[in-house]
Amino acid sequence: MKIPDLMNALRNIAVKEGYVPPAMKVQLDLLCSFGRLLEVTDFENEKRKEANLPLFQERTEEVKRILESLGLLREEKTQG
Amino acid sequence: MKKRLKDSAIPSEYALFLGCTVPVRAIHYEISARRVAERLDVQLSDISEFSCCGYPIKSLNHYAYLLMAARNLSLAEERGLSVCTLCSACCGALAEANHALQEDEDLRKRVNEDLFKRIGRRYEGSVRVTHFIRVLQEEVGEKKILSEIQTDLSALHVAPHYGCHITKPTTVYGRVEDPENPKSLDQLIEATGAHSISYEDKLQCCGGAVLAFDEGVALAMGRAKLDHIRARQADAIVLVCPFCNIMYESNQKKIEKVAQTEYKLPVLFYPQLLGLAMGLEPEELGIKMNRIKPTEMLKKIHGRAG
Repeated sequence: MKIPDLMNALRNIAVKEGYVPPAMKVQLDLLCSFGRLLEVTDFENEKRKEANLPLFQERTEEVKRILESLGLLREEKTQG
Repeated sequence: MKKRLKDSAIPSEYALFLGCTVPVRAIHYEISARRVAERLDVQLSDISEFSCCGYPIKSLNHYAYLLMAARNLSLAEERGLSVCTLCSACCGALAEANHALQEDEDLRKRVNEDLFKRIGRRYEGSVRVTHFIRVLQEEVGEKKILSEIQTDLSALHVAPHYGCHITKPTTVYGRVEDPENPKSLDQLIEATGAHSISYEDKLQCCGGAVLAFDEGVALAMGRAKLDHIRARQADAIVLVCPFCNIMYESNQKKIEKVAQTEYKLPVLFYPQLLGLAMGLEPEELGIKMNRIKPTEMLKKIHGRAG
């Protein structure tokens, strides 16, 4: 086994045990919410339009469903 | 060295995979890659349903990463397209998952059962994953690139930054070149007419991998490379990964503050350099979006400010 694979396996075990670095929790939240690490909003799409680039789908629900099926879903905290 | 670039007359169509960073924080990379591809008859098609490649979740849950990668690959597969990425980490993540799914039938079966159950998709393993510079190097080839060169860049000395994911792992990419002594980016730079310089720790990571966890370490890694590149009096650093760009361009001011020094080292994506050599205007290559203005560099080329 390669060392990076071993390190990865150890990290996966740590996550199962509940040890998730805060930065990774944030990334997981973003992936669940948008399907990407960086949100594409109307603002970004407007910039893309100005640059003659194709517009982006703002959310990708299928990613949420995948993460949800594996018990990784962390709902985006909203008001209420 | 240029002889090692292959020549090919078969440009192809690819699904352009942009990932998370390029469409938001590196639009200039996307703009320049699309312009250069157009000139070289490489067709880049868009799939709006593409998501994150899965790389960020790999260390949290390897299986979730495989499902996310397989989902993206299935989107390209149903259109009969190869995947071309601009981000080296996306390329590595998708290629590695692809390799695992192609090699391990039991794993592919399990992934497909879960994919189908959750989102009604399947991936049969027919897609090829590559990076834009590999398309230029292996499919477009030197002959075609040289035929498009219109501007003399011989006054420029630039530092290539390969980053971590473009040559490794060789078990996934094959030995397209020596991962400990890669030449492809140097050769592509030389093909533009600019000079590719050598410098200490050329293959060192940009530091981006630890940015979210220990900014001090990440900035120190970025600083070390900027010091080595400055020592060789480079006109710019040239790279092929949006995350490496975040370290060297977006964080250069932060590094300067920590190091109490000034680099003002322009950071170009390779398609921007190639586009300039092809005679495209800086505006067409998104150079106005570069945070560190390559004004002096452009003066060297055209005698004009950027």
